[in-house]
Amino acid sequence: MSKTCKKNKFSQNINNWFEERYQLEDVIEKNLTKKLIPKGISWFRCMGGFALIAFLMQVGTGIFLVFYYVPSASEAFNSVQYIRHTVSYGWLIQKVHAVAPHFMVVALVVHMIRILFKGLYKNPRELHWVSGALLLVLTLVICYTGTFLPANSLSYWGVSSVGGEVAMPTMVTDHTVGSYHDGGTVSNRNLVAVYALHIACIPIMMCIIMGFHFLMIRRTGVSEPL
Amino acid sequence: MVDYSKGRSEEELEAFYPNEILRHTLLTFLFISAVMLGVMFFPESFQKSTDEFASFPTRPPWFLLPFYHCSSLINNKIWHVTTLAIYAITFISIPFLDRNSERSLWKKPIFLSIVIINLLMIIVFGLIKFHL
Repeated sequence: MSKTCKKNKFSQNINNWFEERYQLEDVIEKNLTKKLIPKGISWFRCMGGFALIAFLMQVGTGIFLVFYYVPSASEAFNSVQYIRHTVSYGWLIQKVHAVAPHFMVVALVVHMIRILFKGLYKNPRELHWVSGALLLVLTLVICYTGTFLPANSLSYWGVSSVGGEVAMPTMVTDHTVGSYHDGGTVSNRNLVAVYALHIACIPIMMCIIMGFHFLMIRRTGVSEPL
Repeated sequence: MVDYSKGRSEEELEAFYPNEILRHTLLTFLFISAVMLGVMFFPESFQKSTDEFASFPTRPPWFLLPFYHCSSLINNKIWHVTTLAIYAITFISIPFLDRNSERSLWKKPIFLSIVIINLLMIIVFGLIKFHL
């Protein structure tokens, strides 16, 4: 028996093994290969997809950064500098993590404006808008918390140059663990609180809302062109 | 799950795979290329907070500028956060506030003017903070 034949038989066996247990072929046919969609769907409808790609890029690069970033007021800046200058391709990962949010916000804003102007949030898609708008708000909040983490000049600017009374994380943490900007230095406890918001609380909330958003789009389908 | 083929003739439909998948893949690559171009050309202000001789002004991302400007207008922390929260809740509740059966925003002059005023306000706030 030739090598190609053996390979084909092997992949066929794997395919059968999965098919026997999970009947995936039917699901794939229904949702992918035999699925039909209306013709002439506008390319602008991809804006939500762009935001998703940007989010996935942020998650991917963020996971890498978590390995090297030190959430400590004295070490945060140095750890980011270490990522940028010493770790292989760290500069690229860090820069992508810093730049992709700009694209994500643009994609989200264009997506929301299109929906707003076309009135696509009308019955039965009200909750699509609610979840999408929540995602936009959470994106802005996660970007905001992200600016505090490197403990660079921007992080200090955020809490000091505008009067020290503006930071929402400051407000949250003021009532829990004290002030972020503690007597001229960034407080450790609050940097950790902002870090927890940035890498766990907000992303988890976003994932749940995103799942809900996509599920509803699958249920109701894309709206008819006006 | 929704069935698009209901009530439509074959001419009005197309295959999701490969047509739409191909379009999405192309756009994904385009988007990633745009981000990579951004990585190459985006100016970055990364300097230590204690650097007194910083070579460039420290400025938050452009999309946060309107909110920072709002904070300079409202000096009270509680009021600032409350205002932003009310603004966000109003934005999120748009489908429940707009009870007009007309879909297109262009055909709803009052709602259209509210939206345009808000968009202009956000842009102007951002520009003011950028130049301050």
